[in-house]
Amino acid sequence: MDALIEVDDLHRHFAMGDQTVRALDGVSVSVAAGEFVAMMGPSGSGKSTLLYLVGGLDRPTSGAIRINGQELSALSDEALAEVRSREVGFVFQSFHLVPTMTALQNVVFPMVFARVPAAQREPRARELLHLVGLGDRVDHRPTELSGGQQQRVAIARALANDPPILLADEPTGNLDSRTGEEIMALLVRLNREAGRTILIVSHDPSVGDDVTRTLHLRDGHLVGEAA
Amino acid sequence: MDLRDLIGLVTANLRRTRGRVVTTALGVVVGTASVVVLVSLGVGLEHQALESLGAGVSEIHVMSTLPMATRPVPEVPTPARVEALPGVAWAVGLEPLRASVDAQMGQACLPAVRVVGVDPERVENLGFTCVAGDLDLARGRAILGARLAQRLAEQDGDVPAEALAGRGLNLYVARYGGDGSTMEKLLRVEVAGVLAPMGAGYDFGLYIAEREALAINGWLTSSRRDPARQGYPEMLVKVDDVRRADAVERGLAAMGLSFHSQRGQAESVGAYFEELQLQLGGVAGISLLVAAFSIANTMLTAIFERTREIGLMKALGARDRDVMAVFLGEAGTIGVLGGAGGVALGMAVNGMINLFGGQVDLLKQLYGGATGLHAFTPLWLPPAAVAFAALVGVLSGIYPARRAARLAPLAALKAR
Repeated sequence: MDALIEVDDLHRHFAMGDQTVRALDGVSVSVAAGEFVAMMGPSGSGKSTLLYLVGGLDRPTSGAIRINGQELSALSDEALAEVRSREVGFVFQSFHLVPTMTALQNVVFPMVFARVPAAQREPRARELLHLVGLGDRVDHRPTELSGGQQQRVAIARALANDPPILLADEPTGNLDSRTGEEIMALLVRLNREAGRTILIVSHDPSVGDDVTRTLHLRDGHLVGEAA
Repeated sequence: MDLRDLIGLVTANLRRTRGRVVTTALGVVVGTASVVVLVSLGVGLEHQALESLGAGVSEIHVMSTLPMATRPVPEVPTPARVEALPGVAWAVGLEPLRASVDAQMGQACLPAVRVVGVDPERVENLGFTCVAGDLDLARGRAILGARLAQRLAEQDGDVPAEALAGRGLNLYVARYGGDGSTMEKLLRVEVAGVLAPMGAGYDFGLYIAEREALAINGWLTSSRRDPARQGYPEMLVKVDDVRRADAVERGLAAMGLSFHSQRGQAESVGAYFEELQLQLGGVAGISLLVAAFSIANTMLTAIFERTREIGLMKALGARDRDVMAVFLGEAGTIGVLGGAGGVALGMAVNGMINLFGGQVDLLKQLYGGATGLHAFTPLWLPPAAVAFAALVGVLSGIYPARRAARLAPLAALKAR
C-alpha cells in the first residue's frame, strides 16, 4: 500500500535558555492510507510534537515530512495553511471550540478558510453533526454541551473540509472513561466505515485495542511498534 | 475567506467586545468632530472674509470701451454682447458725467461728486438696496450712495440720511471753454432713494437716468453719443460664480476690453484661508493621532487575549492574510464608526456655533465682522472625514494585524 504520510529522520529541537531540548531526534515512520495509528509514550516523549509536525502546525528543525507525496518543509506559510485546510483535520484534548459560536457555526468555521461556497456549508455541517450524533444540538453553544458533546462537535469540525487525515491529540484526555470510550468508538467508526486515516496521541493503554498500529516514543525516539 | 465572511467575522468579534469598541471609537469621535468643526470654522471665516470684500469680488470693472467706437457696429461690446459670454450674470453700462459736479442741498454743498448715468431698466441688476425711498430713476430723479447721503445729511443740519429721500438736490455741472471761459448748468433732481452701504465704489456715487447723463455729456462735449452703437465709457460685469471669473476675463480680453477686478485680492484671501484650514485640520488631526494610538492599543490587547483563537484559526486553515484581514477589518470598522459619530457630533457643534456664535461679542471683535462666528460645512467634508477616520483606523491596525498574522500557529494555540 502507498504511504499517505512519510516521516524521514525528523528532528525538532527547541532552545530552552542555554539548553537545547530535542523533542524529536531522528524519527522515521510511514503511515498508509486507511490506517489508524496510535502514538504512545510518557510526557515529553515527542508524540504530540510529531503529530503537529505532520499536521503542518509546526516546522521541523531538519528531516522530511511528506503528505500524499508533498514535502511540507518546502512549502510557504500560505501553502502550509492550505495543507492544514484541506489535507488534515485536528482534534484537540481541550476541544478548542469558539465559545460564542453555535455547534453549527463551529463546524462551518473551517469551511470559511477553505472558501467552500456559502450555500454548501450549512447542509454539510448539519450532516456532519448528525454523523457524530449531535443532529439535535446544532444550535447549542459549547457552554450548553457536555464535554463529550463538545468533542463530537470538534470531530465534526475536523471533518468539515473532508480531509484524508484526522490528527487527534489526546481526544479523550479531558473526558471521563465512559465518554472517552464513546469518542474512541466514533473515531474507530470513522476509520473503518469512511476509510479515514487517523493518527492519535494518547496516554491511555486501552486505546491500543482500537487501532491498527501503535508507535511507542521515548525521549524523541521511536522505540517500538506494535500492530 | 470572501468579503461577506470577513464582514461577518469582524462584526461578531466587535460585538463580543462592545464596551471596549465603543470607548476606543469615542476617541475617534472626538478627533473627527474636531476636524469637522475646525475646518468648518475655517471655511466659515473664509466666507465672511469674502463677503466683507463686498459685491466687488464677483464684479469686473470694464474701462473705457469708447475707443472701440471705430469698430463696425456689430462688434461694439455693448452690455448685451458681454452678457452673452458664458459665466456672466449681467453687464450694466455706466455713463459718468465728464465734468466736475458740485452737489448742493440746503446748507450742504459737496464738490466733485461722481455722477453716473444708468439705464433705469438695469438699476436693479447693480444689487442696490434702499434704506429710504426707491430705485425709480425717472427723469429728474437721483439715487444717492450711502456715504454721499451721509455727508450731505451731516452738513445739512445733521439730519438722518434716510430723511433725504424725496428732497430736492441741485447739481452744478461746469463746462470749461477753450478760451478759458466757464459755463455752468444747473440740474435739479429729486432724491428717489438712499442706498444701503455696499462698498467703496458705490457709496460715494450719485446715480441718474442714463438718458439725462448722455444729454449733459452731449452738452459738455458738443457731440451726442449713442451707446448702442458706440458702447459705454465704463461697464460693470457681474460673474455668476467667482470661480468662472477667469474665463469671463479671458472673454472680455478677447473682445478687446480692458478691466480690473478685486479677484486678485479674493484669490489671496482664498489662499490664506486654505492655509488656515490646513493648519486647523492639522491641529484637529493631532487628536485623531491620539485616537489612532488608542485603536492600536485596543487591537494589541485583543491579540493578546485572542492568541489561542488566532492559533485555532490557523489550525483550521486560515492563512496569514486571513488573520490580518480580520484584525485590519476590526480596526478599520472602529475608525468608520468613530468617524460617522464624529461627523454627527461635529455637525451638531457647528449647528450650535451658528445658533449662538453670532452673539459672541469677543469673537465679533476678534474677527471684526458684524456676523460673529460662523461655521460652514462644505459638502465634501463629512464623507472625507469618515474616509480619513477609516484610514486612521486601518493604519493604526497594521502593526497589530501583522503581529497577529505572524503568530506561530502551534505556539499561539498553546498560549495560556
